[in-house]
Amino acid sequence: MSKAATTPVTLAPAAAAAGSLRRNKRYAAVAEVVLFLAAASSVLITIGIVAVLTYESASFFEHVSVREFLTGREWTPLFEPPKFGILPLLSGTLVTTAVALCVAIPAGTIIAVWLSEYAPYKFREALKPALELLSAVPTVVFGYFALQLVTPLLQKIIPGLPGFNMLSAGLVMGVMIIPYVASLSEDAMRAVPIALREGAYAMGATRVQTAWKVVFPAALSGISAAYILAVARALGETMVVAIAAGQEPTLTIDPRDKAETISAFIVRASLGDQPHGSIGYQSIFAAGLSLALMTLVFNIAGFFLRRRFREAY
Amino acid sequence: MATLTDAHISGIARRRRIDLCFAVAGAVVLTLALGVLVALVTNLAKDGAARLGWDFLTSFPSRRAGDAGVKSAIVGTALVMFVTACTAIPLGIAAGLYLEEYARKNWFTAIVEINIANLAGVPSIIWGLMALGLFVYWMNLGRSILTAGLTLGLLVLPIVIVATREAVRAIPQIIREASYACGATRLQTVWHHILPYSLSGIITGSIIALSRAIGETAPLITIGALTYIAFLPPPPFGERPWHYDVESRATFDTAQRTQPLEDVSRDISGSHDSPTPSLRDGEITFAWRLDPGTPITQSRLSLPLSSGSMSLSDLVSAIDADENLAATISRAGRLRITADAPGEDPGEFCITNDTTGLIEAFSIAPGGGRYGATDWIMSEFTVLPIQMFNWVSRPDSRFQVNAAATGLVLLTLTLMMNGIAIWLRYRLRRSISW
Repeated sequence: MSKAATTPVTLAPAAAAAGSLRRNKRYAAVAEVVLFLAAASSVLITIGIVAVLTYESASFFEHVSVREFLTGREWTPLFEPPKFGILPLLSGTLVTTAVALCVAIPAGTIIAVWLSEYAPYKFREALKPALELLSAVPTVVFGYFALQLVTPLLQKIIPGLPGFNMLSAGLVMGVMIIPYVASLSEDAMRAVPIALREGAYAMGATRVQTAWKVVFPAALSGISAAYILAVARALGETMVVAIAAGQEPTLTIDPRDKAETISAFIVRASLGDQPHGSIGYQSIFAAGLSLALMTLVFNIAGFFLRRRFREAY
Repeated sequence: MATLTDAHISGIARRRRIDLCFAVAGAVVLTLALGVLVALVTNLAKDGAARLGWDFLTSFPSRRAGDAGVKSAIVGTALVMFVTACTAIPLGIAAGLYLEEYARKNWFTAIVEINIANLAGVPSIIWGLMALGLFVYWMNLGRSILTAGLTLGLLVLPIVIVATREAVRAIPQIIREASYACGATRLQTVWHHILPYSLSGIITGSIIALSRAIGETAPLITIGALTYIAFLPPPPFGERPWHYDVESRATFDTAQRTQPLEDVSRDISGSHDSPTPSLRDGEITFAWRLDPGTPITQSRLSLPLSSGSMSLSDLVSAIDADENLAATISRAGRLRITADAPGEDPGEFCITNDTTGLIEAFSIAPGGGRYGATDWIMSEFTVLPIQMFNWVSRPDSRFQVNAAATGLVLLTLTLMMNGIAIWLRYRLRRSISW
């Protein structure tokens, strides 16, 4: 090896070849730097988000105590006298999220089990894209749907339901995140080794027993990641609630009431064009920071759960 | 070995029944979910199809629901999507290639990966706040097409990165080894082999990313996309006309005045449908009042705007000559007319229309000359989802019809893009055999 390698091989245009080799190496080095910067830009974006939210919120908390923010029962930052208690926005956000999850989690799970354990291959290949189309519909269109179709229908079932209510917004939001829950859970179940299913069938289990007693528990960490990411989606969803839930901060846990979520408040305040540096402007960022922190917790938990199930088999 | 008793047999029959029940239940739930999609489309079509016509696509928004259209929104959407694509696709491909082909397994790569997963989960409204603080105020890019395109581009960046990584990962290792064996550098391998082979996967991901961006509403509301735009962004090298531009964004000097008027301004935002007729006659009537109840002040001003030959400084002095009016030229080259109320402190002022009590703040852009090639990118804009949101938030049912028609346009665009992406992916899966 060593002798052969040290013997120089002479090529006819050796100098030219060496030159082009050097040039190629230089290009390669430049390209690596450019690509690295592109990857690093995602970190810069995160720093940008964190910096903007904390900087503007810091000015907000110079005027408003954290205690007032977290325990105040009224949220009227744009009116006189301004009150800065986030509880009404928080209740609106949590109630709409809860309603949405009551739809999305059972329906999403059943669809995932059905697609992964029951549906024939061809069926599944055709239905998954159809579900994807459901999640591709713009949220503002879902908002119109909630306001113009679902609310009038609900009003026939529940007399006295106001035209703006959290129930309708939450239900539509739930349908909106069904594909999300279904596709992530289905991925998790498909990752369960076929041997486990064969074992269950060999013992005489039916499909439903195999699905719920063998596959579902085996895929649990992946499925719970799907649920957790669905929670994060529902917490941050904006347009459906801004259109259909009414834009009035109300401290209530009754989904039939109208209320405002954190995200819907940001939309309403932005429409009014808050002067830069005013307390109204800063309150948008304080609300945004609370929302970002809430979703961040769920997103990180979801990320690690997903990673765990991927490595399990 | 135990024999099967009747109890066993009925137990098996029962379990089979449960199994069948679940099979049916699953199919029903899936049908219901897809039924919602069908209901949504038919509901939109029922409400809006009659309104959808050539006139609707080629008219500017209007105060009268029957005359309103989505011309400015379609142009705005196309331009914003162009900037979005120029941001997200190159950046996403580069980042994806780095992570798959170059990155070493170290703490930095781990951070970038967690970070991208987290960015994908950041609610879109938070992206809007980032853009408002960073692009609009810190970088001073304004409420422009550029700001919107950058925001949406960064928002969908994770989708492009993930699609690129998946497409690149599907290429077998032997391809790379063969390339290196021929003496190729890593860049040559990526450029001549990895990128071409993963291209259709990347294109699929990019189309899906753009279809997500096209429907995004919340972040653009946060950065202050206007809902009423009765002009198109300046075409490259187009002639610069005299331009009268009604802004419904009223800012007042004291907190007390901001409040009631802000509500009014929201109600009327988007309700002006044309420049005042008096402007075409070369005469503008300014009428305003500070608070409801105070007397109206009026100033009438003759400006030879139609000739297009008046210089900006002549215009400023003509306005300044009026005892109630003052004119300033902003850094962006826009003329802003402000009015003083006698006896009140002067502020950034809005003009009220005396017959209806509406508020209008407006500016006149200087005319003459030609636009630059990239002036459009700094222009204010509206997009389809914003226009739809504006119409859907109005109590007047005739505007709901407009909202439905806009929804149909938007839905057609997104479903078409997703359809293309799904078809591409399907073809790709069939044609590739490593």
